[in-house]
Amino acid sequence: MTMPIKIRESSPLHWALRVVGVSALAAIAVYFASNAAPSTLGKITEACTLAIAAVSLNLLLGFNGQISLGHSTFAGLAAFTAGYSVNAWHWNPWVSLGVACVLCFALGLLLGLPALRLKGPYLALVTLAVAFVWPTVARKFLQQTVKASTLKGMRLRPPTWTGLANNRVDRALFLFWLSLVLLVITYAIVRNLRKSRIGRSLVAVRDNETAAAVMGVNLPFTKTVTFGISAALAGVAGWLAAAQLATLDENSFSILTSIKYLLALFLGGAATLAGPVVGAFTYFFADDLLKTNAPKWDFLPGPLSKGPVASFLLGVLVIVFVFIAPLGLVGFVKAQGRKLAVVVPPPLRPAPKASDPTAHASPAPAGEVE
Amino acid sequence: MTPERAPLLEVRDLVAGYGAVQVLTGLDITVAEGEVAVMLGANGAGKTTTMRAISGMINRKGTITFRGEALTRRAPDEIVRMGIAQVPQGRGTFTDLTVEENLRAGAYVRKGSGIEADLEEWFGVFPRLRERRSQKAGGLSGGEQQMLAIARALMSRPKLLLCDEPSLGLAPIITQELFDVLKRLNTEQGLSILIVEQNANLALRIAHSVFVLETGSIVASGTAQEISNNDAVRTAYLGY
Ligand SMILES: Nc1ncnc2c1ncn2[C@@H]1O[C@H](COP(=O)(O)OP(=O)(O)O)[C@@H](O)[C@H]1O
Ligand SMILES: [Mg+2]
Repeated sequence: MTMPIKIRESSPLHWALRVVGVSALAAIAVYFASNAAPSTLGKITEACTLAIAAVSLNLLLGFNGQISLGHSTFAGLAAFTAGYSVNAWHWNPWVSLGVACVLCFALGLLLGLPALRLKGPYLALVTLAVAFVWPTVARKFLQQTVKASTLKGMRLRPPTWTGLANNRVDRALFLFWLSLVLLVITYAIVRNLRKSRIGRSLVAVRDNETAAAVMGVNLPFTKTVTFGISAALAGVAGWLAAAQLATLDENSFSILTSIKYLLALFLGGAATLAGPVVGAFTYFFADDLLKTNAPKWDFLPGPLSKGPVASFLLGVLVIVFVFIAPLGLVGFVKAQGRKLAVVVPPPLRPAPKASDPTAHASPAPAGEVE
Repeated sequence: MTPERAPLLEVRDLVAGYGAVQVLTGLDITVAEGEVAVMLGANGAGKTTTMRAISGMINRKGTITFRGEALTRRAPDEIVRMGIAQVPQGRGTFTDLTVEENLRAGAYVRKGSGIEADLEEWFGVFPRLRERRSQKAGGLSGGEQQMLAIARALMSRPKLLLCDEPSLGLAPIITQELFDVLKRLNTEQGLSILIVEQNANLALRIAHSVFVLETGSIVASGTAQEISNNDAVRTAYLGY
């Protein structure tokens, strides 16, 4: 058999590989759910939350080529919406999720407007300004509306059908599964979008605006709506964060949060589907490991032994990594994997008969390994 | 001599530019149904601007009529739907999309039926693209990318294809191959084509009519034969 092995898209083998992959991931999740301590589940929940934010940023930056340093603000807006509406107005948390997403979508559209005229560093600056303004807005809101220095987080009760009790352990378990489900949904939305006609147009706009426009892609519409959708998905991450945090304050979603989203995305690989998820988990647990072991770095000289060594080391690691694998972990693995096996598209169907307009719509006959 | 044909595209007194900068100052061209028209012009003469004005990418004044319908006020997507496709200067292939995705992206304004059949058809015309169907377009050679850009434009099922300096950056032998394909599309499929070029030798061989553009307006026009015999044009654009 010659290398690389060719696997036909949607062939039985391809499906089998997909099923094995998804089952393995599900088995890992079940394993953790039944064996891990609540604190570990909490960490995984946090990693999933970061992953949702990174996936949302990937849609905008990876696939559509618009940079945003303001994604922390969307998450913050959603978290504050959830925390306030659930505590002060006793809203149903699920309603607050919907409202938070709509608000973020609207703010995203709004921010997408200046983005139509700005590119690269200029767009980065405008979105950076938004991220900088957020803490002030949050502080004013806390002072004038909440009349406290912090806002309580949102305490989610596991619904009765889950069979989970409303205690610390069961709530951790519930949040763990909820964050996984929300991550899967977010991932599926972005994946299906990317594989569709709209998704091709997003990448087309990123790669060559002029060529996309002469093909009939409406640039302003595509770019602003992408900004809106990405913001709404970042809102999901913010809402989920509100469910994990005991309190929210003006610094909960600072510019550093946006930087974290960016690092997670580039570590995993921008413009790949799995990249932001892999990147978020890698980033989160590398950070966690370094922080837990931070006392061990005491031997370092001078200020290094006192300062936030873990953050510093993580920064260095990410920079080094970006040099070794500029396409991110997933990009790197894909490049290596292509030497072993490639997925090839199914053969095209011959021209459909005029009398049978649905002929081309059914999937092509499955091929075998060649 | 070319037989009289019905006009497909008529451009009259076209004025267009960028903001305060007026590039086209009253341009007239006519492309007849089923013909290959070539517009010659030096660097900066306004060739790309003309293409962008026809495709609706920039504001323009004057009249542009396509198959009897005015399109001066229409948006790019409507113009594509009416049957005009543009291959932009520098090809503009989407480097991170596969060859097939590029072609499917070209069918953006079309819904559903016939896209698969058209893929099959253009893979037949451009066998190199079929071989590279699932590869990223960024990995293609310059000539292959130009072929891809043309095939992609054809995916919108145009009546008129606009090609902006297709030979740019290509070796003469590749350019020759490219013009052979364009010629075939014209004769076999009845596709009308408007090509703009700086270097006209190869383009003139497949042209029915030729326009010469200088600083924003047409200074000479005629059949390929007439233009080739025009001494001033010959020294300026043909180099002999
Ligand atoms: N986006 C733009 N903004 C301002 N001026 C432009 C722009 N694009 C082109 N021009 C100017 O318009 C003139 C014609 O350009 P163009 O149509 O690209 O020429 P050609 O395609 O014949 O080389 C040139 O003087 C060029 O500098
Ligand atoms: Mg030009």
